[in-house]
Amino acid sequence: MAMSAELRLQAMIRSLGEVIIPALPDDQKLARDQALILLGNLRMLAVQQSRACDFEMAELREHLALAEALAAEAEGGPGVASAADVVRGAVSELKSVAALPCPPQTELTTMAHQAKAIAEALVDAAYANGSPAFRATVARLVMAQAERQIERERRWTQAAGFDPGAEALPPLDDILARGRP
Amino acid sequence: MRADAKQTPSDAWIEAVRARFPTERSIDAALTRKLRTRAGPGHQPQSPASVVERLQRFLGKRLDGPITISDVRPLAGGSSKEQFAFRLRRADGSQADYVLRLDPAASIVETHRLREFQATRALAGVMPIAEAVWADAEGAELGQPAIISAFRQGVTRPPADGPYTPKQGFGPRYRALLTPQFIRHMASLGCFDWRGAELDAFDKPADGSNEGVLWALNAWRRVWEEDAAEPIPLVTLAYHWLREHAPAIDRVSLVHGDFRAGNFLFDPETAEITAMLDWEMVHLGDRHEDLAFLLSPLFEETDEAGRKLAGGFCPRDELLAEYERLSGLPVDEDRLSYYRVFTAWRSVIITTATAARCVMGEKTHQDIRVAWIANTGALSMLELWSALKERL
Repeated sequence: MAMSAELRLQAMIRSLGEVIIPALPDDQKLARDQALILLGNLRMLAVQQSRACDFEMAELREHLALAEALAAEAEGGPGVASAADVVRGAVSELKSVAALPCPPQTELTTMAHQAKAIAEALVDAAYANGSPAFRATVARLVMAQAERQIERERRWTQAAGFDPGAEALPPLDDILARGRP
Repeated sequence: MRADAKQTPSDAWIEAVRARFPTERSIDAALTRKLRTRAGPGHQPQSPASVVERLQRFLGKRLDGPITISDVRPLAGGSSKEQFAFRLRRADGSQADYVLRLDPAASIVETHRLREFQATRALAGVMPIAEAVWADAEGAELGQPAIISAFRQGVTRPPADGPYTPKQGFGPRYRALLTPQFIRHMASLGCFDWRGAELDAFDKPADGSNEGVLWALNAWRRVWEEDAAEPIPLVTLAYHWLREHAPAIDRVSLVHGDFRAGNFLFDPETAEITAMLDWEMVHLGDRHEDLAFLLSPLFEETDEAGRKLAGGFCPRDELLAEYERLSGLPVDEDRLSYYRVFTAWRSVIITTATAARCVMGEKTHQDIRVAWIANTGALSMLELWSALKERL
């Protein structure tokens, strides 16, 4: 049996917190500072490492939905039409990956990046030669998507300790399950 | 997040991004240097012996008689510059302590050292500051762009354990003593007459125009273009909004860019502020930028009575009223709200794009700290979203 990542992380956290950091001299401030950060990172990994696929799948679904919604409302000059065509051309492949239980990591990262990029390109196109109505729609849809992204990422990084308010958000697994087929 | 084509930028790509986002000359030089060295080696740690050797050569050329460099020790604070304290003994027997601030191979905030050098010298006598004494702006002699500043005693926060967080928590005693000083120094910066100072590293926007704002927007948009590994539609939306609404600057001031708790030293016994620090983002712009950043919820504390304290100092209205009284300059709420969006947008770029890009190339002396700061990206995005929502 191979030791699970969860157990190894648990052991590393204890070792660093209970043995290594207390043994560092007080005047070695750089080393102490970095050791404490290392401990914080391990605590975060303990939460994240089993959910990495779910996190990227949530990103893919969300940005794909944004890109599709923007393309459906696209209105303006040639740049807008062209960016909307790019979205329509990419949708079926992105959706097929988004429908998989857990795609290969490299493919998932590439698809998630593509979904973000085509959505962003439409935002840029809207401000280059989109109609005023389309720009207003872009603002509304992007703000709605960003609200969901922020909620997800606040919970994802909560163990770092920067954001006590994240405790009031829905549980991470509930957030990551949204939009799951 | 994986390494991508931006890790090995071509000359053509570099020239295209320079042309697309024109900005101040020295900012362009610093960002271009970053790109040209991006594919090169990562950061190499400096040993104290290496630092002594370099300082001996550099200062030996500039000072009369033999000198001795001793007591070299790395300083732990800060994520963007590698810092060493040292003692310099001169031929006449005098000695003084200094700080060597070196650019790592890439920085979480990439700027030109000459700007910090000139600004701190211009402000000596205006506020407590670690005045820069020597500069090697291109790194020709010290190996990396660097400045050497006077050493100032003090702490940045009351002693505490635990990893870095933005919250400092002064407590009532320190708050009462530090707040009047801090606001006074901020007001001094806002009304400082920079026009007689040696600031040729800075491009100078005209009063009554928004060209200074557009330069700053271009600079940070260029950083986003150069550094971001993952698109964020909110960042793009905010950029277009900021561009469309860029206000004229009524009175061009020197702007620190990061004027807050954690960026000044104070005597832990007397609470006297001994130096305002970290002038790397200094530029000529609108005083409302510094005010808006200070007022960010990221730096807000709550006191023992449950009152919200802007920057951890005092209630917002008190802080702004005192700033107006001391500076003689009005605070405009509309421009505060604009710069709330701007400073939040800038923070998102730094934490979500530049931090990851630095770590990708193993470019800093504190990659783990830079990566840790990236965990504030979600909070910065929340602040950007909240600030933009008020204006849309």
